[in-house]
Amino acid sequence: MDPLSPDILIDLYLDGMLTDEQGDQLVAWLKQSPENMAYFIDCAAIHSSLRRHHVVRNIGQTRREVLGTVADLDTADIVSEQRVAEKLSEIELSKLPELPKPQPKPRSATQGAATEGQVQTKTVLNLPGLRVYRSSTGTGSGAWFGPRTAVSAIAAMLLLGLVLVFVWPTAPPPLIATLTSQHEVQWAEQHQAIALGHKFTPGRYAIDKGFAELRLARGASLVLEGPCDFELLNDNALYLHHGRLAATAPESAHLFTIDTPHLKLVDLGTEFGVDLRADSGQATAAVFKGLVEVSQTRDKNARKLMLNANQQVTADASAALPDEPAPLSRAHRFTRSIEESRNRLVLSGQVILYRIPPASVHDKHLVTDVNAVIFQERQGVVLKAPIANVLTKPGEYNLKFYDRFDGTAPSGTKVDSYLFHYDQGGRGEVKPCSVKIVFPRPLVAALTSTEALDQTDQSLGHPDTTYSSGKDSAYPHAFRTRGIDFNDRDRIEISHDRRTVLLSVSAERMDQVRFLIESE
Amino acid sequence: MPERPAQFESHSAAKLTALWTKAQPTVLAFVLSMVHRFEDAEDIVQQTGMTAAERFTDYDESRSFQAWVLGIARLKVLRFYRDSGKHNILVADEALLDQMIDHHVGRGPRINDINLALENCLTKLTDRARKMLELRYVRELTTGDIADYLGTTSNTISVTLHRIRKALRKCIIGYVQANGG
Repeated sequence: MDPLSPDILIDLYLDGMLTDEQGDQLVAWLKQSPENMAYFIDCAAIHSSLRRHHVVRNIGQTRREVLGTVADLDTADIVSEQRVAEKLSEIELSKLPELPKPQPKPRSATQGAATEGQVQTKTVLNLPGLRVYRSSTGTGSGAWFGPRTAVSAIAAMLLLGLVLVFVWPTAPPPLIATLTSQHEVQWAEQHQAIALGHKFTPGRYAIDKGFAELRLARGASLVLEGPCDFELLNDNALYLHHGRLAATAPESAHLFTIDTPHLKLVDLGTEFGVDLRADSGQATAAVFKGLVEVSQTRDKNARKLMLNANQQVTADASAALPDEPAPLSRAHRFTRSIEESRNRLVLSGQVILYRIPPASVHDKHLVTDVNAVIFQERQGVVLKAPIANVLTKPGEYNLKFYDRFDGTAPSGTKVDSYLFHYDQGGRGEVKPCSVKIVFPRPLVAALTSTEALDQTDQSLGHPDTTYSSGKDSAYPHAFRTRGIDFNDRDRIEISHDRRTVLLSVSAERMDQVRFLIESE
Repeated sequence: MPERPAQFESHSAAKLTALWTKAQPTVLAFVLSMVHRFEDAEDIVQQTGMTAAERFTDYDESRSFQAWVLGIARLKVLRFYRDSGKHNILVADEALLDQMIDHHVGRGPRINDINLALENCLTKLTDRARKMLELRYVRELTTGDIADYLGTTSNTISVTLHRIRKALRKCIIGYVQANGG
């Protein structure tokens, strides 16, 4: 008997249809060379990828929908192939091996003794990539191949290759999204050709860093922040493998859907964000406006949670959705527009960015585990009067250089303001805090004195935030500690381009600095 | 009111999830190369993950995590064949099985490349070919089942699937090699 080609042996093996004799052929071929082994493992990886790809794409698809797919199949071509196969097999019968009778399909050993058609639900592990719950329904037919049919199968496999032409695309894939804007974006290596205006076809894409804004054909707009790995499914649906995005879905994109391994979000007219961490698999969905329906991807029967504006929910593979959504975190990390990304601060050290300004920055009102927060107060304010005794020049500022604290921010300057707020919460300990802040544009001035802060709260402070006057009502006789007192541990350094500030502070209570940067 | 960020998971749990997330595609590829039914293979991958979680304290961080979980998966595969009474010629040859595991270790980047190439290559298939793959890989239908549904013979389905997969392999491996894989 002529040996079958490795590709046919591998396919028969992966489909569980290999005879003992063919198995010996496969083993002998695998042992011939490491290259053969590597090729087999590639084939197994492709087999596995096909499974993963199709399961991921069909998450949420009902059994009925799948059966609809079967019904939709156009069988005309297949029937004609069958006729060709039968004719060819009659010619080559004597050369062909026989196929075994396929084994009836047993249920998995771990599934117990459920009868066919019975639905089972299992509880499994709390790790990403594993099913939390899975329902499986027994399928029926165990196909039986008669000898002639079996011979025909191999005949067709061997010989149809000569006459069947696989139909590669006659029409290009649909263009379902456009790259409308970007900021400091770096696409993954395989997508280097993507530039502004690029039209996307369905498929998987990755951004290493920076921001990209995509507009889908149905109207939804996405701001994706790298690192991000996502899959455009169609003109109104996306699968997020990991990363962060913010979406705006107009009425034309009603029911815009984002799937992740754990959460599925269906837009009901809204702006929302999704953050899926690559390390833990933890997913957060947050709604800024409107309404979003959230459900767990793997458990179709689980109840759905409706998220309203300014609410969020976090979930992973191990836990069911909470009964109630949480309030949207002020420190949420979603960037909702490219313009916002251009104005983004880059922070390191013990500080977090509040994208929603706090209600109060009075002493002990805003205590965080990371010591300090910074938030934008106003944009595009023109200074009506000069602000004296502020830090304006590059250099280091501490007790040794107190004579440098004599800068002036001139009137007429258009600025954006940010407040840095450090609060010990009255813990009675001095906890040093060091941060690095990179502003999107050069610094105009740093206001470090209590007086300068008090004087500019009204014009440069956020209208929804109440500010301390430096004298806390609980400590009416206390020293005014709002600004930095520049004790021997306090220090500010402004870089030569005036975009980077290194700040070290320590206080028993509270320190604040108002930064003014050039406005766009 | 004072606000505090959410507490993070414990260090070891976070480390395990990160390691497992990276290793899981390789484990699935290995198990699917040894066990034919998707459900059985995915059960084994789940059991492997559960055992890895239970025994994570035994894991020696100086060794490859992928090699460690593949070792667990190997035992699960052997147990599956022992318990089910089935036979697999590759599993029966333990030296070959060990060689397979050696080849799988460190293949995470290659599998990522294959996943990305698959996306690209699938777009080149016809709708009919893609639907055929859906029947095989989503419905988990055998060639005989697909033939029953479509009122044709399993030969035709086998041929069709073989041709699709062969074309995909050529495209994917070519794509990966062209991109430095």
